Amino acid sequence: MINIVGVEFLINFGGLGQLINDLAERYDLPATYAAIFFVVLVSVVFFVVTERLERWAQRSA
Amino acid sequence: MSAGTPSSDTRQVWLLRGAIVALVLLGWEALAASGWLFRDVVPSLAAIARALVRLLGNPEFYTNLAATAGEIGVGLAIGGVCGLAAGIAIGANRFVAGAYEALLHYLGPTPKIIFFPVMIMWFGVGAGSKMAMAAISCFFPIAISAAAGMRGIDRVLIRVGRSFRARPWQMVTKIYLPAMRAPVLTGVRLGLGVAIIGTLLAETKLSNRGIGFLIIQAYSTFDMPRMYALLIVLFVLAIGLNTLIGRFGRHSR
Repeated sequence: MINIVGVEFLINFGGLGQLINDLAERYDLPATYAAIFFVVLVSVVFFVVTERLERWAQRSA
Repeated sequence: MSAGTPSSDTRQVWLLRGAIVALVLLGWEALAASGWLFRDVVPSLAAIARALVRLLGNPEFYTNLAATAGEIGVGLAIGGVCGLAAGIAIGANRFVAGAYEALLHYLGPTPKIIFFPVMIMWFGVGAGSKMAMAAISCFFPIAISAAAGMRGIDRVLIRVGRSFRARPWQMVTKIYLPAMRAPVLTGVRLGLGVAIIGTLLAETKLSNRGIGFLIIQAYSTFDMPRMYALLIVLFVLAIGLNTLIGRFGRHSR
């Protein structure tokens, strides 16, 4: 996720990285912060889901 | 299967490493000569070697290297000290750990590059925003390792410190830090890696100096041998720094 968002941010070919970059370049700060918050939320959800999957895999092993 | 002597094992490991490197170089040269990819996208090893020699002989390269090293160094120092303080606070206190440790673990894997526009607004387009990127990037691995290291400290050491009525600062410098050296150094190694990534990504995006700037400049002018030469220098420097920290950790045990 770090790499994908990083590449999207650097080379504009779509995605959340480009969205944040575009919003920041337009100086739309509320939207920029909202987009950043959304990416943080996605990574948190991803982390929680993988953590639960790991626990489930350990229990069932 | 019988195990070999340590020296023969080491020799075999080095031989295997050499064979892998030679195989990759051969594959690269074959790909360069094949013409399967666009011309010059995969330059020959000789062209990259010539570009590397030109690069290392250019004083401008060292100015940019110093700029990047300074940004990474300052960022690592700020993020490292903050991460260490946060890790000690979280590892020492169950209430603080309950309140904040989950946040550290959740925010740790977030791609930090998304904060770069904010860092530009806060610290400007100069070195400050790159240092901030390095600091944010390395804060999390160092804090997480420090918290884990803090919990791994022998309780007896802490009781001895308390029985001598050591002050909090004395507890940190005389007991906590020496006892949690290994996990902290692991955190610094991880932090250094992500600090380099954060700084270079920021330089690549918006900068007029630094190694990231040189790489994106070479890419923009389609000077592929120079770009690969810069990447090689970067790999070597990152490996060297990582090895240095690892050796420091082993020597200080």
